[in-house]
Amino acid sequence: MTNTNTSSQSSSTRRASSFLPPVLNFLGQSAPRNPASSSSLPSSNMSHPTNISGSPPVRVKTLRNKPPDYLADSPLGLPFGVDCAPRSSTAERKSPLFTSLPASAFISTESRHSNGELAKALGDCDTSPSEKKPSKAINLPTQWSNKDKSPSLELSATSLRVTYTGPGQTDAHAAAVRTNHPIPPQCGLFYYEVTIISKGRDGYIGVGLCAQNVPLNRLPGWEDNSWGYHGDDGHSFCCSGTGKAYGPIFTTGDIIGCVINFMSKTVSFTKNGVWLGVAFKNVVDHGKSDGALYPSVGLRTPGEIVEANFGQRKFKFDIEHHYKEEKARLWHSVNAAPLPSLPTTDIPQDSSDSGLKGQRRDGSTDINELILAYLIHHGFCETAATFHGNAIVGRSSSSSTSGHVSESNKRMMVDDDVFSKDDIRQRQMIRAQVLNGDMDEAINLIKSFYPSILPQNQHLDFQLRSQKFVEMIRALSGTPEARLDDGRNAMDVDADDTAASGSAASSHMPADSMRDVVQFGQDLQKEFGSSESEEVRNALVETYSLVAYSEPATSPVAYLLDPSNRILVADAVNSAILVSQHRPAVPAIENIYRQTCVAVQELVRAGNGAAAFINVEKECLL
Amino acid sequence: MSSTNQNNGAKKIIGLEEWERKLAEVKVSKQDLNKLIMNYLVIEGYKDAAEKFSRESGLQPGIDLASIEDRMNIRNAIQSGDIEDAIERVNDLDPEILDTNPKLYFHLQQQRLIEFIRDGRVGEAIEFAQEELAPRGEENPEFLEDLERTMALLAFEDTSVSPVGYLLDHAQRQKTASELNAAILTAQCQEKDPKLPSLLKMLVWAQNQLEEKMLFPKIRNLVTAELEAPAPSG
Repeated sequence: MTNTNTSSQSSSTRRASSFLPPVLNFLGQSAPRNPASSSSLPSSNMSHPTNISGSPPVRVKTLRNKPPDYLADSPLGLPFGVDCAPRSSTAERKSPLFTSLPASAFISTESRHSNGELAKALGDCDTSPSEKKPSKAINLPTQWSNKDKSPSLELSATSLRVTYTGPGQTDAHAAAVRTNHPIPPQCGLFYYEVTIISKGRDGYIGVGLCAQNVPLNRLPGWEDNSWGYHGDDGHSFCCSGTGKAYGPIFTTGDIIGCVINFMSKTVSFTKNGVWLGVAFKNVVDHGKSDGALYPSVGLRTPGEIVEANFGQRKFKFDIEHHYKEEKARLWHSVNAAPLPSLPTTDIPQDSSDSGLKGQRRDGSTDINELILAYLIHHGFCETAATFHGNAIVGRSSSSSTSGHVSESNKRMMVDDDVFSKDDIRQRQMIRAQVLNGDMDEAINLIKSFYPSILPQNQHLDFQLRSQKFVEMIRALSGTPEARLDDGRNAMDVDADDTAASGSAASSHMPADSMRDVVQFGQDLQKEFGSSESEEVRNALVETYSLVAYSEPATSPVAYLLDPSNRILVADAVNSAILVSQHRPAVPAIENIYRQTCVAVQELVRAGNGAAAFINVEKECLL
Repeated sequence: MSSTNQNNGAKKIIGLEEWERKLAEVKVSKQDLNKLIMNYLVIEGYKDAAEKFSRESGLQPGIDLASIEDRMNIRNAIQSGDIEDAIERVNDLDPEILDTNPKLYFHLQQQRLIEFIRDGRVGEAIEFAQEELAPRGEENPEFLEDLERTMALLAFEDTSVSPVGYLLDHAQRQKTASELNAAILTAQCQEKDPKLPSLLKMLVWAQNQLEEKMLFPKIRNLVTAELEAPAPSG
């Protein structure tokens, strides 16, 4: 995918920030999200720095607002349904779900250069009526609030240090402060530390958290919706004036940390980097929408000074390790669950040749079917045959000799009809022709192998023929063929005879004259110019405009010549054929991946603390 | 939709159309999924398939495919009871694996002892135990316990009534083979578990959790992965 932004500096900035949710605002400043405020770009470009045309200031800000390291993997950005960080510099392929026209057909030039389909997805997302607050940033607590504090407290310029200035005579003189933002459950786990700069007269210092409505003339833990760990006696206070023994006392020089865990719904403390155990259970009740909780400290006697660290500096406690442990705990429980819909009868392992494959745990039969379906879907013919032989037939025969055949294996054997090598090979041949740019041959093959496809699918017909138009222009202008960077090149090389001859033919084909090209374009116009589909009509105009440029390769519509468009067309053809055979247009594995991502994202959105520990993309894609 | 939750009616419902739009927003490429497949083929030891897949998809398997074959051979050796062969092969592959992993080495020797006993080679079994296993058992109480348990096999004429008869099960071989396989993968800096099964388990977990909060189109059949629209509440 071409990148209009050639500055290496900005591209490295983008990489560094790519894992960050772009709208996360760690310092609580609001990034310009209104397109009018800084440029005329579409808003979807503005709020997502991976869209290359986003303005530099946003990127810089996102970098500076980096959340603490332990939250680097958390899906803080997901509540917006957007995780648009490119994983690699290789061009992202449009997924089959989007496939109806080449991206070039309906995406404007500038957004296409960044990532057309993404921009479109984001556009949909931003305007979706179901997104109540589409662009609300998630803020982490980063400092004490100047407004939300007792008048008996004074804040330093950084709003991290708190000094008690009250009379300090009675409990009524206690003074507390909350942070600038509540803790978002989407982080899964939040941690902050407080250094006791001075214990003052009596060291009546409380560290903890509380809800918005708790009075600020009380120490954390004394009131409802308030929890704290107190330095003078080491007691923990849970919504009550009476504490109970919890940890050691703390005083000048000590560093007290507070762990709020949205998965286990617990609050724990650390002292000088040492874990003190769970202090409060069932604290984090996000069933209540107004139950947002704020970090809070309370001071009570003159001279008391504390300073907080919300991730600006290195923590005393190894929170990253703790985060990983919590995550491992979740993984353990997720993975411990058996997969449903599995054959209950395990296949005996005595047969020596099936020993290895059958050994794996329960779900392997289903997984093998999924893999086979995937291989067939994408036309990995040889792999499918080999895998089928190794993993599935081998197992069926070994189980039938031992007297029983599992339901799944029966199904698989019946399905052998579906596993038609001819079909795979035919689809593969067509794909090879499309990838070679020999559209005539591709269309001929489609017509002969799958005669019903094109008459039923006007879009596809149009796609193939406008691609042919592009290829004619390419041949005519002598544009050097960029090699496809898609992995499927290998298949071209290994492709069977027909494909190979087709390839040779295409490269030696005499270029059509401009007259032929124009003629072909006019035919296209005649047939599709009055199409009901606006997309088709727009795509037609765009494609046809190629003719206007003497050097199409450097023209504004040069992207039409990008060979990666062939992949989109090839995918579209493949899906159309599969659909015509009443097979899924998208392989099951892809659906499963998508479903998992969305389910986890919805969980995070709904405040499920455990889901916040899961980053499906990082866990599953390499 | 059957649910024990009583306030089903109050649950949020996400309809098929909205859900599908969300699904469409997920970014995943064919290349990503190809990698997921390759990861499975490699770790599970489908060498031939991995080779073909590498050729057809243009994806590098990420490791020397010959090492898959080595792992398969080693695994097969253990599963057919030829522990000596397996040890030899591991040492050919990488002598460090057993050198740096005394527990694994002990378990292999223990398996060898089990095979002697299975074959009724009692004399050899005792000699082997005394020479190879006992000295190590003295070093480590955990090993000693394993050794004692294994030797107890000799105490019963009919091992099927022995409380330690399970040591003769095929599962014991598999356990040993898996331990070795995992050690080889670790030594090769490879992951031990393929990602695809984890993905499926994550899906199951996430859907179950989400079902407590809302009604949404679910994938119930992991093989077809078809969406089932949420039934109207009630």
